[in-house]
Amino acid sequence: MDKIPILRMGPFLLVTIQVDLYDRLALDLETDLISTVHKTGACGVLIDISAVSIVDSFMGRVLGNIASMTRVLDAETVVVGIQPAVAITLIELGLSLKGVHTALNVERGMALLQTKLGLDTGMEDDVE
Amino acid sequence: MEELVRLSLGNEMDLILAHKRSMRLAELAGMSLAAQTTFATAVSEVSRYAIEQGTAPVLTLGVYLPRTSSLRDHQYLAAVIEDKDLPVVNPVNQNLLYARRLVESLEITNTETGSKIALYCGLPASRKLNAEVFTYWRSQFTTDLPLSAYDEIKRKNEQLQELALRLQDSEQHYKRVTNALPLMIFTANQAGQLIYANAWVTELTGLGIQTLNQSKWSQVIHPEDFDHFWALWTKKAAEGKAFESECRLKAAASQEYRWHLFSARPVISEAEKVTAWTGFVVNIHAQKIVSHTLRANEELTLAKTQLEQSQRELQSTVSELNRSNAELSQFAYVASHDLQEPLRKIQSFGDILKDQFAPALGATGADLVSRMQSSSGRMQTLVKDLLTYSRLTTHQQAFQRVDLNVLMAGVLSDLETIVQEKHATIEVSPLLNIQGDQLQLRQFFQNLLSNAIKFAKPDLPPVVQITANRLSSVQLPSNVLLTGYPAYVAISVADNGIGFDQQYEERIFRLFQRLHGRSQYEGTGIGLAICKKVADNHGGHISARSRPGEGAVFTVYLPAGDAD
Repeated sequence: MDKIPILRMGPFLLVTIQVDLYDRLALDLETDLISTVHKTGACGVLIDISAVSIVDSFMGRVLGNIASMTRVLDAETVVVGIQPAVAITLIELGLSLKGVHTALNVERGMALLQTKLGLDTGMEDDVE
Repeated sequence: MEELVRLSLGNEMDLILAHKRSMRLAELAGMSLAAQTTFATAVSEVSRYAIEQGTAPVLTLGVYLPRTSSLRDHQYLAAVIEDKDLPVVNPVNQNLLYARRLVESLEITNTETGSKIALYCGLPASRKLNAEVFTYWRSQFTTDLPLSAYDEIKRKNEQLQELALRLQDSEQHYKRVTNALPLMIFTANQAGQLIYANAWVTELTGLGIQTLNQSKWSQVIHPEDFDHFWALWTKKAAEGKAFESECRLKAAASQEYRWHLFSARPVISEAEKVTAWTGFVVNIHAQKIVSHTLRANEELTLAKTQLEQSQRELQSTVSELNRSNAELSQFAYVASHDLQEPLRKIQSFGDILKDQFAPALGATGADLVSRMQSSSGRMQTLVKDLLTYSRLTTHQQAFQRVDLNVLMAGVLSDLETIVQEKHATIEVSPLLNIQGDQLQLRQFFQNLLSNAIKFAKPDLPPVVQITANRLSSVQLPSNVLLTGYPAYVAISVADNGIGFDQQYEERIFRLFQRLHGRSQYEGTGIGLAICKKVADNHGGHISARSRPGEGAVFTVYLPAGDAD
């Protein structure tokens, strides 16, 4: 079974979706992410969907859920790399991904997370 | 709608394929990336709804070219999702609402066969679409590399399913064909057990393959053919050579045995081994009967030819015989007629000699002349009798009704002299009518009665009894073989004369046959021959019963003269 890898990068978790995201995979990712946040105490999650060509209502909901759930676990989620076409479709659909922070790319996303949490690279050690 | 690609929606994995295909189609149609994504997302939304709610939804992607004039310049990418069990589509379903936002038009139709959701997304009018383009697009979908392992498996699976379907079709077709043939088709193993047989086997025998295998067809094959059949099979199976046997099989419907031809050929593997036998059984009863009949017919024709041949031979013999018989009668008649004249002359010259030359002759000469006259007189009688006999053949009259009482009275008056001479008694019972020739019958009874009187015992005056009774043809004695008339009259003439030995019965009726010397009883030996000839001429029969010294009974059977 496919599994989307979750990479730990200091206090953050990095998820890059490179495969076709079918429902089960999306739901598994949701569960995995939440448990990993819980386990590692990561305070930020960065999801790169630059390779995802389509985000329909279900995926939108999954992304929203991930953001809400991680927030409950005191972590911020940033979705990065949304394709322009996907962005257009999302808006046409009427899904604005409320509660989900977005950034243009991974770099900006990382910066956003750091700003959000008032962290800098030197604070990595505090995370346990 | 011009259909381009079709996809069954079984599970969520198919959603990926649905949106990829939609993307590809939109890309081929020259839509912008954003438009591609929008279209694919809409398809994905509706597909998700169909997978969740329906049983076996199918997605069809294509191009819609409206025919109506107002929309002539418009062309649409179309995605249609159909499912026979999709519940009446709820228009407020969130997925559908989303999809509606993404496309120009979303139509939901409910029919008896199921529901249909169609999505339409406008295409730029500048894009020229024609059959060639569609063919190219279609080919793209089939030649594109599989998008994922799942896609490949799904494609292969669909191919397999199609193959299986075609195989099933072909098998059904084969079965239909073999079952429609008016003969049994089977495959069997080396032991002669059926592996496969078409419906005719069961239809004919009324038994299943298993039952037939267990019993080795013993309920079906005629007991007389059974041993030979299996012996031949064992031999041919061992040799691996074509098997052919004719035997009678019992039809279940009629319970009658019918001739069938069994034919089987070995199926030989690459290793030169017999793996199975294929063959057929066909009803050859009609041919068998025809050939049998033909053979019987040939025999019959042969017998008929032989019969005709012998009939022809017989006919020629009969005509030859008739001719010589007629010539003989003619000869006898002419001869006896011509013989009379010289005899008469001898008589008259003898008279002249005795009258006019008596003194010259002397006593011895007169005696010699008398003897000569007596001899010529006997010869005259003989010639006269012969003439009578030959007339019986040459002068045949048409039959008429004859009253035997009248006839007998005439005969008795003719015989009056001899009756008185011999002191004979003739007792005549009332007689009957018969069919016949009056003249011949008169000769008949004259001969028979004079015979009875003539052969009297020397010391006993003759007593002759004449009786008659009527017999139907079935009442005739077994030794009297007569046909042709329904009834006969049996006339018996019984005397108390010297009788004869029964062994001479046949002889006495022959011409010139005599049992006694002329010195004892005079006669020519023609009388009874005449009687027999007359009886034969009348289609009748004469017989005699006697013992030496005990008298004789002559019985003649003549056709009855009336119907009653």
